[in-house]
This record gives sequence, structure tokens and C-alpha cells, in this order.
Amino acid sequence: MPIPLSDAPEGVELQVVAVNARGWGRIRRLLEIGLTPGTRIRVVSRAPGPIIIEVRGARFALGRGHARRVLVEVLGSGGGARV
Amino acid sequence: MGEEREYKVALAGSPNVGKSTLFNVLTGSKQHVGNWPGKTIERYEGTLTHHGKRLRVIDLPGTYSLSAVSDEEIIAREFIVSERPDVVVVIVNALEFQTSMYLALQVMELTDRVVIAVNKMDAAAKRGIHVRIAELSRRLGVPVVAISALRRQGLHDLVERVLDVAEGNLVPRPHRVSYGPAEYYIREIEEVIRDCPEISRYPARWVALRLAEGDRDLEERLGKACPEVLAEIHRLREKAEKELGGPLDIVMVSKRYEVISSLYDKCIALERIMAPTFTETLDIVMLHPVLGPLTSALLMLALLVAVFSLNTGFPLNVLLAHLGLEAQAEALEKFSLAGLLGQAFDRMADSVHGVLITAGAPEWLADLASEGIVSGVGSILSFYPLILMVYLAFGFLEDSGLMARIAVVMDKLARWMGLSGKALLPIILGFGCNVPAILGTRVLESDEERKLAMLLAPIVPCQARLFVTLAVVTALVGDPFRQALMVASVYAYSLLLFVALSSLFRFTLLRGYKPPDIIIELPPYHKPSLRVLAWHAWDRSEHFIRKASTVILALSLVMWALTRTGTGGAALSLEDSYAYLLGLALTLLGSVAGLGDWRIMFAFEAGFVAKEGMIEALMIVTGASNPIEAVRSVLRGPAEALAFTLAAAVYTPCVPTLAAFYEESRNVKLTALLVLYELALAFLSASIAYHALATALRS
Repeated sequence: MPIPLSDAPEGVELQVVAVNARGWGRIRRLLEIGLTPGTRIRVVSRAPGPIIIEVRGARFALGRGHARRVLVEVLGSGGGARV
Repeated sequence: MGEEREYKVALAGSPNVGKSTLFNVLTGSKQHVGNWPGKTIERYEGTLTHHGKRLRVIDLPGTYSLSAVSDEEIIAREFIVSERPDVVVVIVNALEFQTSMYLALQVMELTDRVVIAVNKMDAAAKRGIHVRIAELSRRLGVPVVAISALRRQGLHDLVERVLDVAEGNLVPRPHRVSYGPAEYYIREIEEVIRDCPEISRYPARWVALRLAEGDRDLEERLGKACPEVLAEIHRLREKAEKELGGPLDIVMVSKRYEVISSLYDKCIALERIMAPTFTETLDIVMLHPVLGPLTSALLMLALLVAVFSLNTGFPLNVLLAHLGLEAQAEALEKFSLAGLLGQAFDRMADSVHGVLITAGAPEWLADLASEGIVSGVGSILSFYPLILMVYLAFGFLEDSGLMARIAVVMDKLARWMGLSGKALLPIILGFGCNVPAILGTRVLESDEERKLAMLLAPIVPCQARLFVTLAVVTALVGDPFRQALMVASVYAYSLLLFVALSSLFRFTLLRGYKPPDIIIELPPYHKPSLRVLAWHAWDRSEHFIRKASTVILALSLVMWALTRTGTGGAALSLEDSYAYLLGLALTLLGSVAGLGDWRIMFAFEAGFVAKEGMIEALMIVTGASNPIEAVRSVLRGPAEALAFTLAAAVYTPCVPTLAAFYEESRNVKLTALLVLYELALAFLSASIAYHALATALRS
């Protein structure tokens, strides 16, 4: 069951299923930082405010609105899995 | 070696890949800064000579891609297309290989003449990351060089490869990404655009790729020149989406990342399993919901205190005095940068005056030269150290990677004030000086957010405003605890105004605006190079001074003329001058707030040039020998003192701030709005505070 990245649990390995990147501008950025469908990512921290993810070895902070546009699937509790 | 050819080399790279460092170590001191045409984005250019051959190096703005989402991206790609550099060096970060490689692939679609520099090889090696350079070069079809800009490793090699490409000894054959099922549509688009000469100067394949993905800039131009071509492209894109089961841009970006993933698998070797890195460990604190904001606030406070103390001695001098180290406190004040500069200019003004009088010049000329010009220049230079240090301190936060974390943990708070976390850095710079605050809003991508941040930044009390508050508080409030309380309440009041104004602007001027969602890269922490920090700070502040100095000097001269001339020609005393008349007229306003004394109004006139000047002006008109005496002789009661302090903390920004605001906004109306709203606020705040306190004290 795909869930929005904004609701994904911390620390587990996730796979990007879809990015709602319709329209110009900053949403395209989500793709361009490497959040393409199929990519494995991890939520580093989901404290209040922006969520921190690790994607392709880089760390990014995404505002909640952006995180809602990324659909992910939980792959398993990697327990510090590296992506 | 006889032929004198100069090769044009562009540096491209994402933010945080070390591009500035590379540019700096390549070109050394032979560089100059300007602006890209029509933009406020800086353009750096420098030269370097290698075995008698000259390279002109142009530092393109840092971008993650070339998709025309931001002005920086448009500048970077326009440069590559129109100015046809002999070589484009794309800098890739070994620590964040995949994300930074994305730009390289895009550049390779735009030009063949590419050399790739993989930077931060030293840091990568330390973390057990090994990059197979030869394999990478073979797969990409362009020369690849391993470098460490910070340690100056691999630079010789890089320059040699650049020259090889520039001179045609080596012809790169960039690997072309094949977009699989999207290729059919890309070729269709390539056919369609043949009918539009408007965009024929770009490589056809590249334009087709960009239009397949969707490209704001190119589509705008097509829409004007060849609307029927654009309509056809939209039709093709819709067809592609139906048949491929998804938008073309997702398909294409995914393809590029597929290529990057396989490059990563084949060319990057991890020699050992990594222990948690320094970055991960520090991030546990910096991104913690409680510790993060706390550490961030303390860090910024510490930097501001350090900058303030170096500049004027305060607040470290007070601390030293409290500890019984009176002599040290005094020395700190005397040898602070503002103190030293002030003394130097006073002495220079005196000697200029003396020399001119001895040479037989009339008194007014000597006065114009010494008080008008030398002091005018002095007032420009007196805030220079502050701007420079603010840039140095906050450049350190930015380069080290700390600022990105601060922006993230403070994002929630900032949104509450109508801004994103990214706007926080410029706003906080404002506590030092409003000028870098306004220039710093350039980092904001949304025009509306930038407008809001620029309008709000001058309400942040800068160090000069603090200086005025301190003078009043020291003169009129005895108890140190109540002194501190009063200073704190001025800051609290400014914060309150900041929040209220932000709401007001969002309901009126910027209706419908919402603070943009952030996407911020959190680069690995690293120790910044002092050289690059100093260069950047020097360069940014100097750039501003050069642009703003005419305005500042002109207004200083106007102030001089106001005090030295009057209706009867040359003014023998201040009471004969226009400044007096103006002050007298202003007392109409001032008296509402209990400040109906032309001498006080004169101080406000002086404060328009520079806020530090207010106290000095009071000393001149009262003939007092020190600030305390001057303040005591014009402000008699606590209600007057409060009104004066609040008005000084809020009213019209100083001339340099206005100059910066106008330079950045190029909008006369907006600049006028800034002046008027601050004047109105100051008047209202002072009047209300005066009457409230006066009434309270009477009862």
C-alpha cells in the first residue's frame, strides 16, 4: 500500500512509487534531486516541520507539502539500512 | 608559445560541490565581480595562465539542473549557448556523487566540450569511497579528473585536460542518454521545432529534450514566436502521457537517474562498511526537535555577540566591566574596529581642515572638505567592518553546512511569521546590519517571499539602533537589571511588529501568498576554507559599497549643506541653518510623542544617514561632551525616554539600507512604502508609548 512520504515511518527503507510532479517549478525539483519512481530512500527524521530524507547518499529536507506529493512503499525495517 | 590565445572556460556545478573554492584557487587574486545582465546574481570572472596560455574562467551560478526553474539555471544555460565557452568544467561531488552528477548529464546534452572534475576526493577517500576515474571517463565519453579544490590537488591535471579540449587535442564524445520509449516523441518534437527559427540557435536535440520535459523559458518564447509549434508540442506531450502511462518528464528524469545509478554501481567502490559519519552524529543534535532550535539559536547569538564585540566592544565590554576588568573593557572599546576607524577619520578631518586653512582656503571650503567629504566617507567606511564581519560569520555558517540545518529546524517558526526557513538567515543578519540582510534575501527563490522578507528586514533592530537604545538606557536608567530589561523589551517590541506587519502585508500587498515549501540540501559538514570565506565576505561587501557609495556620499553632503546653510546664506550657528528649520517643522510631529524639541528632531535627521549619528548629533546640538550628558539634557522624563527609544528603534531605515533596498528591488514605490510604513509606525509607537506611560506615572 503506497503512502505519502509525509506519513512514512522513520528509519525504514522505502521505495518511491510515484511523484505527483505535475506543473512547473519546484515540484520538478523533487524528481531532479533523485526522487524518481523506484528509488530507495529513508526518512532520517520526521520531527515537526520539514522531514529529512536520505536519497542516493545525499540528505535533503522537504517541506510537508512537498513530502505529501511523493508516494512511497515500505520495503521493510532496514534498521539503519543504507541507501 | 608565440600565439596569444585566450580560452573561455565556464565552471558549472550544484551548490555545495566546492565550485567557489575551485574558482578561487584557480584564479587567485586575478578576478572581478559583476552582475549578470539584468539580474542581481553575481557574475565572477577571473584569469589564469598555464604555460603561457591564458584561460578566462567564468563561474556560473550554482544550480542542480538546467531546467529553467530558477533565474540561475537560465543564466547558466544561456551562457553556454550564447557565449560558447571553449570548455565547460562540471564539478561533481564525490561525497554526493549521484545528485551532483545530474547536472553533468544535462550539461553534456547541451555541449560536447565538457570536462568533469570530481571534487572532494580527499574527504571521500577518508570515508572509504573510491571513485574509478578512468572507468567513469570511459563511460561518460568526456575527460574526468579527480581533484580536491580545498587541498589544491589535481588542479594541474584539470587545467591540462581543459587545455586539451580547448585546443582540440582531445575531442570529447559525451555519452548520450537514450530515453527509451520517450525517444519517439523527442524525435517528433525535434521535427516540429524546425519550423521555428526563434530557437534555432540552440542545439535541436537539446531543445527537443527540454520541450519534451516541459520548459518554462523556452515555451514562453515559443508561445510568442511560433504559437502553432507550441500547440503541436503540447499535443505530442499529451499523446505521450497517454501511451507511456505517465508524464514525459518523469520518464526522462528517471532515465537520467538510471544512467547515474549504473555509473555509481560501476565506478564507485565502497572499501569498507562506514561507521556513522560525523555528519550523521552531529545531525542527531542539530535536527533534534528541541536541541536543534536551541543549538541554532545559541550559535547565532554567539556569532552576533562576537561580531558586535569586535566592532564596537559591546556587549563584551560590559561583561568585562562587571567582572572588575575596567581597563580591559576600555581597551576593547578603544581598539574595536568602529572605535579605530572613528578616531582615524576624526584625525584625518582635523588635518584636512588644518592643511586647507594654512593654504589660504576659505573656512567654508575647509569645512566642506573635512566635515562634508572626509566625514561622509568616514560614515560609509564606519559600517564597512560590520558588514564585512557579518558576512564572514554567516559565511562560516553557510559553508560549514550548519546554516542548512538551522534553516530546517527553524522552518516551522519562520512559517508562523510568513516566511520559510531559508529566509531566516537574511533576517538574522539584520541584527548585525540591515544591508547584508536585504542583499541576503537573494537566496529566496519565490519573488513574493523575497518581497516580504525585504520589507520586513529593516524592522529588525541593527547594531546601530541598539547603540542608540544603549545610550538612552545608560543615561537614564540606573539599575543594571532594569537597563537589560529595557533593551530586551525594545527587541521584543520589534519582534512583535515584525509578526504583525508580516500578517498585514500578507493580507494586503501579498494576498494569496503562502510561504513556499522548502527543499534544502543538507550537505555533509565540513571545515570551510578561511581563504574562500574571506574572499566572499570581502567581495560581497566591497561590491555593495562600490554601488551604494555615491548615494551615501551624496546624502552625507546634503546633510552637511543642511547644517551649514540657511535662509541667510552661510549659517554661522546651527540655529541659522535649514537643519534647524526642518527640525522645528518636525517638532509638530514630535510634540505629539512628547518629543517637541528641535534638537531631538535634529538627531532624527542625522539618524537618517546612519543611526549611530543620532547620539553624535545630540552631542553637537547640546554642546555636551559625552553621550550620557547629551541624552540627559534633552530627555527629561521616563515617558520621553521611552518614546525616543522606540521611535529610534523603528523609524526610517538608514541611507545604506535604503540604497540596498532600492538596488535590489528596483522599485521606487516599494522603497517609498518601506520609508513611509516605518515612519508611521515610529510615530504611532512613540506617541502611544509616551501618553500611556505619562498617564500611568501621573496617576
